[in-house]
Amino acid sequence: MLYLNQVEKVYKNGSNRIEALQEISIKVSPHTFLAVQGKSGSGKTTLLNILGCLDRPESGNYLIDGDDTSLKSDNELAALRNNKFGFVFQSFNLMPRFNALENVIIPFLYSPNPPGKPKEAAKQMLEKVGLSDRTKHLPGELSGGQQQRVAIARALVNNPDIILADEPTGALDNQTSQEILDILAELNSEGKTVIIVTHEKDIANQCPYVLTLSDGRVVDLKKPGNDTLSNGGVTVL
Amino acid sequence: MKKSLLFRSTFKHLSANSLTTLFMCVGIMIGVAVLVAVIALGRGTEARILDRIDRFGETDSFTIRTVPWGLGGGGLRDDHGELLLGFDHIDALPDHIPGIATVLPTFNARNPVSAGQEKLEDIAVQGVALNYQEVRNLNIYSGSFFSETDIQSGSHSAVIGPALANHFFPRENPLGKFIQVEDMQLEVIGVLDTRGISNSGRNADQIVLVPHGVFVELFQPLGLSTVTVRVENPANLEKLAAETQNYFEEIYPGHQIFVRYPMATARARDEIANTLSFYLKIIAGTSLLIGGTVMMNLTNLSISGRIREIGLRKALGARNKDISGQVLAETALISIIAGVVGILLGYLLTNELADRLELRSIFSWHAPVFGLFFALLIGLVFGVRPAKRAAKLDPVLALRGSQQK
Ligand SMILES: Nc1ncnc2c1ncn2[C@@H]1O[C@H](COP(=O)(O)OP(=O)(O)O)[C@@H](O)[C@H]1O
Ligand SMILES: [Mg+2]
Repeated sequence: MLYLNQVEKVYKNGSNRIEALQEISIKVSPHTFLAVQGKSGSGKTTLLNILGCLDRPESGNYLIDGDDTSLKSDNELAALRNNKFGFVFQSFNLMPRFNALENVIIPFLYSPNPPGKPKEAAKQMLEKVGLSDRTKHLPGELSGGQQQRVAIARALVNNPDIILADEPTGALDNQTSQEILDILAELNSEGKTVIIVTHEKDIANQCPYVLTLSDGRVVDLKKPGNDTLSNGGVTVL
Repeated sequence: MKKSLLFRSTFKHLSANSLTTLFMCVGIMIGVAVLVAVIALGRGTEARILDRIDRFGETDSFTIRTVPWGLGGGGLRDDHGELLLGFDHIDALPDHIPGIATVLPTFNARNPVSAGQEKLEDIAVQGVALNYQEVRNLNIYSGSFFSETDIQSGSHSAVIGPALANHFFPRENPLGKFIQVEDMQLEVIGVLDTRGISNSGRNADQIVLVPHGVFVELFQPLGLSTVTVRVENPANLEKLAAETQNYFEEIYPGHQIFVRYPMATARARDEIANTLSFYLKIIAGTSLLIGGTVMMNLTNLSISGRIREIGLRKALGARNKDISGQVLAETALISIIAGVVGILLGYLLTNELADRLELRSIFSWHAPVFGLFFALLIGLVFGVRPAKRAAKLDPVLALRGSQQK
């Protein structure tokens, strides 16, 4: 359960105050598939960064499974990023000199208990996203969709509960976007919480839950018709 | 597993950015090469200078004379009216002045020497007592020095300087041949190492050494005008020299006794050694500092180019110390590689310089060990600031920076 309580985030740019997030209070249950949409600058990335413990709120609390993150040290947050969350970015963020397999292995570097055979584990993940025949390819030798799949494999390799994807289809054509979305939906059906940020209506509309931000505030939450807690869920408080 | 992953990732990064890596290496490499060369050449030069000093001036002995230096002397009879110190007084010296180890009477004559038809005028002939070789730091080039029995029994043998050996026995082995002093035949049993021109300006290689007894037989000295005295502790050299001077001046009232002790050379020796190593340290330190600065700036530059990567690693769970550890691992790896290459370069540089400038070099464990140690030290010391900077990067900003690209 992810619980944001009155979370605010302010950026000060000289005398300018940019209120990137204001009074955000939401709960996200396990196994939820949530899209966050909104215009550019509405605070989507800021929200996702706070959810993924890359950033801390200015005020308010963020509880993960009941634990207040404001009480955690930087190292403890790093550990959460390593094995509780998996990140996927718009620009893939693969290491250009590392081949697909090596890119997927990187999270093991920072893991307290990496598997005995990291290569095998990484290979399995690449297989899962349909890239078992591209393990030795460098990112530059892969298409955009393939690169994003490597990034998803990397996000999955430490078996996190939650996948956070910031505009994962933003750099891809329509058909490839759909393939990536299908992979994410598949992961959700396997039990993972998936939260994606998008400004594309087509993509958002395929997600059961859609949270809409505007100027750092929650302005709308779309729920599926059959909103039951067993299916996960999102509540705006 | 983690270590090998970290190492591979480090290595990969360094090889991918080969130009930056190369420049980093060059800085350290030059520093270490200079350090190695400086140590080897410095020690060699020092050894050579000290060698030269030691050959002519022993630091634990002084010499007294009845005539000032440069005014002939070395006489054995009072023909020229000079004072001769009696053997009984000379022999009694160690008993009178505690702290004196041995007295080495200098049996010096200048006499014609011949071999076959060849004859040389005015050659130094010296009588050798026990301990002579030790006190004089003489080295034998071929053959051997007098044994104790030779000296005690006064066997008719001679050790000659290399100049005489070359003159009398060119392209021949002088050992076992005979030379003649006055009308005595002496068998050559050894040839000295070359010593060049001595402090007093004479060719120290034109010399004949004979056992003390032989000298007495040849020249029947009544006393000596020159005596070399060795002390137990070089620190007391000046004091004991003054006491010895008093001792003889009391025995021979109205006569002046002259003393020469090599304190000047002892001081010069220390001064030369200190000056040399001081400058060598400055040169080496400067070059390593430059190498380190180059390293630090390039590391900073390379971090600026990798902000996106650092943000990503943090998002994947890297702690601050993982990031700084990675940067330090990189600088350390560069340092070690550059250090090893620098040591090899240093050897080449040293040999080249030693050849061209006719310097002597001494290689020992110092150069590679210090070289590698300093390279690593520089890598770590100058890597710390960039490493901290990298670790402090805000992952959110770092990742955002990438999205603008
Ligand atoms: N580091 C920052 N410094 C100043 N303003 C920032 C910073 N990061 C984000 N912002 C501002 O906060 C607001 C929300 O940004 P962001 O969360 O990236 O929006 P979105 O992802 O919805 O486009 C924007 O107005 C943006 O300009
Ligand atoms: Mg954004």
